[in-house]
This record gives sequence, C-alpha cells and structure tokens, in this order.
Amino acid sequence: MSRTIVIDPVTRIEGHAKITIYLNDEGNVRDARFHVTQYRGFEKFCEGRPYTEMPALTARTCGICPISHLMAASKACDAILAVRIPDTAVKLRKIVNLAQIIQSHALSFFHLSSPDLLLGMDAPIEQRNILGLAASHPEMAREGIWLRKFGQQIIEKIAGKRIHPAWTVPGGVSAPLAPETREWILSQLPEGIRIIQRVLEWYKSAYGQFADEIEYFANFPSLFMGLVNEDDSLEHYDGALRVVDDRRRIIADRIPSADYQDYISEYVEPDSYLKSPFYKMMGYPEGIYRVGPLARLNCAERTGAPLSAVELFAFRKLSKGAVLSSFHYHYARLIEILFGFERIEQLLNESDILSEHVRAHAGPNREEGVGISEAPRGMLLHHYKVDRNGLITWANLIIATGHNNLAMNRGIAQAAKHYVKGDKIKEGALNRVEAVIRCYDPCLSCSTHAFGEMPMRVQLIGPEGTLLDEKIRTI
Amino acid sequence: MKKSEPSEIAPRGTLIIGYGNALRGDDGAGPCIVEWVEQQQWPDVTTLSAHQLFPEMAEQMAQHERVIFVDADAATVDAVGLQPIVEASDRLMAHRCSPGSLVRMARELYGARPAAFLYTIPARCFDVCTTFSPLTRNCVRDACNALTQLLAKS
Repeated sequence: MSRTIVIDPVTRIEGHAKITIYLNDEGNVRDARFHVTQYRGFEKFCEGRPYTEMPALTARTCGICPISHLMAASKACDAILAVRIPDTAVKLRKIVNLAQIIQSHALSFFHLSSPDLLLGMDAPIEQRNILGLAASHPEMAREGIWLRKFGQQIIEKIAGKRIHPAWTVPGGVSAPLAPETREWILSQLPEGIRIIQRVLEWYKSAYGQFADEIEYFANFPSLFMGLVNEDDSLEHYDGALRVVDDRRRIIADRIPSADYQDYISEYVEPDSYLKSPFYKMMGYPEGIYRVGPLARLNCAERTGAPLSAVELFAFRKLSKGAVLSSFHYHYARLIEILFGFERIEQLLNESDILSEHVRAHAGPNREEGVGISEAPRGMLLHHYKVDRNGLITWANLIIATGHNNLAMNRGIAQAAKHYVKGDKIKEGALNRVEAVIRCYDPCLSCSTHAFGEMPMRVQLIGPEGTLLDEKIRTI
Repeated sequence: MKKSEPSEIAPRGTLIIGYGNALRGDDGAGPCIVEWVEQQQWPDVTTLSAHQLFPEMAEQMAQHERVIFVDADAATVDAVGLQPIVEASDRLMAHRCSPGSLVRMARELYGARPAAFLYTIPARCFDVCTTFSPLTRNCVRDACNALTQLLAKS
C-alpha cells in the first residue's frame, strides 16, 4: 500500500506552498512534490496597460523584491524604446539592485535560515525563529538587522522609497544621485564589510557540522544559469546569460536576452501554479537547471572585487566542478553580500556617478522587449509585446523561483527519502524537508504572480491515497 | 546610523508607528493618522509609516521612551481601542511581526524597554480604494484627538 505525507503550509518562506510525500508499499519514500497553491496572474492583467506603467505595475508583484521587478521591467521597456540609457543611470540601477540583493540575502540568511544553523535543525520549533535567535545569539541577530536595514536605506536614499519606488523608469532613472547620499553610503560600507566578513568566517567554521544536510539537501548534478560579464566576472544587472553543467563546463554562453526562448521553455504541472522552466536542448524534465547565488558563483569565473574574490577562491575548494549541494546557497548568499558592498563602493567611486544626465527620452520604437536581471533568488525575465500605441498586448514573466522549481522538487524528494521514515512525520525530518526549500529562498508570491496569508502544509499519503499524517504551520 | 550593538544613547521621545495598506480602504487608517501627526510637527515625536511591522523597527523603538502603534482592526467593535503591549512569547515570521514581538526584540537585542501601546481603529471595508468607511473615518478623527491629549500630557 503506497502512502503520502503532506507538509502544508511550508514555513519561513515567502509564499504559500504545500509538500506531498508519497510512500511505497514498504513504507519508504517513493517521491515528493512541492506544490505552489496560490495564483495571481499578473501577466494577464498587465494587458492593455501602457508599457510605461510596467515597472511600477510589475513591482507590485512583491513587497520583498520589488526592486528586482523594477530592474527587469525597466530593461524590457528600454528595449521597446530602443535606446541606450545613460551610463550613470546604468550604474545607479546597479547600485540599487545590489542593495536589494544585500537586504534580501540578509533576510533569507539571518531571519529565515540562521535559526536552523545556529540553534540546530532539531531545536524546539518554539525557539527556531528570529526571536529564538535574538535570545541565544543577539549579536548575530543585530548584525542581520543592520545589514538588511542598510540595504533598504540605500534603496530609500537613492530611489526615494524602500518598497515600490517609482525612480526606475523606461530610459533610465528619474533622479540623479545626491552627493550627500554618496558620502553617507560610502561611510557605512566598512561596517557592512566587517559584519559580513565575520559571518563568513563563522559559516566556514560551522558548515562542517552539517555534513549530512550538505550531502542530502538537493545535492545532485544539474545545469546552472546566470548572467556574467564579458570578462566572465559576476554580474547582477548587465552581461549575458551563461549555462554551465555540473562540472562547470560552459554549454551555452553570451546568450542575448532577446534569444531566451531558444534556450528556455516552460512546462506546466497539474498540481502546482508554479511553472517548471527547463533547458530546451535537454527537454523536460531532464533540462533541470538552477539559478540564484549558487548558480551565479558556479557560472562566473571571478567576482571582480578583491575581498569577495578571496571568498570565491575558498568556495571553489568545495568541489572540483560546480558546487552541487543546495545547502551552500547560504554560503553563496554571504559571498554575494560581501561582493555587493565591494561593487557598490566601486560604482560610487566612478567619476560620472553624480552626473545629472540619467534618462534617455523616446517613444516606443520596437514592438517587443525583453529585460533580464539577477534578482536575489536568481535570473528574472520580463518579456513584453506592445501595439503601435505602446499598450501591452502580451507579457511573460519568468521568476527566479520558477527557474528553480524542478530543482526544488528533486531536492525535497532527495531529502524526504533520506530523512522521512515510517508513516509519522517527526519534527526534525519535517524541518529538514522544509529547510531544503529555504535554501532556495523561494518567493512564491512573485513566482505565481499570492494573496493573503502565506503559510505551509505537509501531507504523508499512503499507496492507496490514504492520508497518514499531516502537519500544518500557520507561520 | 547605529552600529550593530546595543545603544548607549538614552532613549527619548515618542515613536508613532502607523501600519496598513493605504490602498485597501479602512486598512490605511494607521498610515493616515501618522500623516496627520507629521503635520502637527510635535517636538520629540517621530513617526514611521509602513505596510506591516518588520524586525528592523525594533532598533528604532529602542531609541524612544514610548512607542505607539496604530493599526486598523476588523475585530475592534465601534470605538478606538487602546491597549498596552506586552512582550510576545509566540513565534515570529521573519518579515512580518506583531507589536509584542518587536517589544521583545527591542529588549533582547538593544536592552530597551520602551512603554508600548496599541491604538486599534475599527475597520470594516478592505476593498481596493483610498476612502474610509463612515465608522473608520470617525474613529480616525477620535484617535487623532486621543493622541493630541496623550502627547499634551507628556
């Protein structure tokens, strides 16, 4: 008799999801599925709106990473304008995008995942949260708050608002950088770098305690996809797409944004509102690829900044090829925070950073535009078509969490097979299955385009469809 | 900007945190009251307006002697409610907090114990609009009067 376990809702993620674990006749895990149970349909209600509204409109997809949508949408609109936006505008967009990545990574690592790492995967559930962290490791909690706040302050000071600023516009940005803002950010960067270097040292000394989780948390060969610069360095805004395999061999490179459909296709599973993009040349579901911090570090040859370069060198020692364990998304996130600070400093020291020429003006010159940028969770793609009046006739958004859908599903199946035994869900096993998902830091409200409370549910279902056990968490 | 260590500056003044979604009818009562407070330019009063509460607010709370939360509440019957906030012992969602969890974080992380209160404004309509229902509109006015009296005493 096969049976099923369902985890619903999945907790400490951005969105509402359910995990179903299927048992075989012997009571062992046969498979596991990650279902996204919320639906929004942003692409559809963008239709008929002027393309100029798309950055502000699509940013409303999410309150966690609206800046990422602003970036991809603005780039797609730049393509419709067919203009090259001023260099200073590019640099300012890059700074704000990196600040977004810093604040989001800080939330993911310190607020969502560090309770597992510092208090233990088997710690009592009442303690395994940021309040528990504040009680047991107050310095770490304060530093996490500091990093997130700093990232948000950079956004607020440059773009006017922490959430949903209207500063990024088709053709550039609406306001230049104020000299006092530049000075203020520069004055705070050393503290940010000090904090993240200390946390990186802690992580490197601590991850050895998680050998089992490293082995079984979505640790499998796959492709990785991310933006890289022409000099192969780490990039989050410009550059072109690269795909590498599990040995870090480049299998596709310099892919222009507009050509993404030659490489990526989307499959729809009947049990989830989250689509399953796959690498077209390998088909579905073999074309599984991962995006996000781990993928970006696997794709890039170098960071392009000195302190993070040292950390990337150490990261490379984890594997002869690509780093395959999704547990190390955490590690990659920390390195990217450090890189973000370094890169922001480089950009703020560019000679034209205070230029007031920050916007190119034009009307729609093309009927189609694609914009790709790196969001905290991975590659974010906006693709619009407009009519002769500039009204949106079709839109497609492929969100980082969607790119990772196949990998998350394979990851929870791997973890469930290792940790779930019998027809009852033990708390430690439940948390580990959830923690696999948290490695990817999925943003389900973005990826399905969610409304309301977003909690998690795990169901254990037997071979004949009998519900054997169920765990529901409301937060 | 504060460094990542407990404040050595003595807390002072009042922080008023109004939260809710101004595009969701009555849910915007908190931000609306904060906007009104800002117009009063009262000395030693700082304001924060947000869609929801988040952990970073604990740091700013720690810098004040008193914190007043203002929130729309469908469960509040027909008049403005006022209640003291006690530390929460519940679990905390990382990007959305309760006033009680923030009070606890202010103490555990920054060693601060601001007096904390919550004004609840009765709310009935959460539709996509920027207007208040008659009850909420009246209670927003009552809350502004109550805040004026409270702050005049201090």
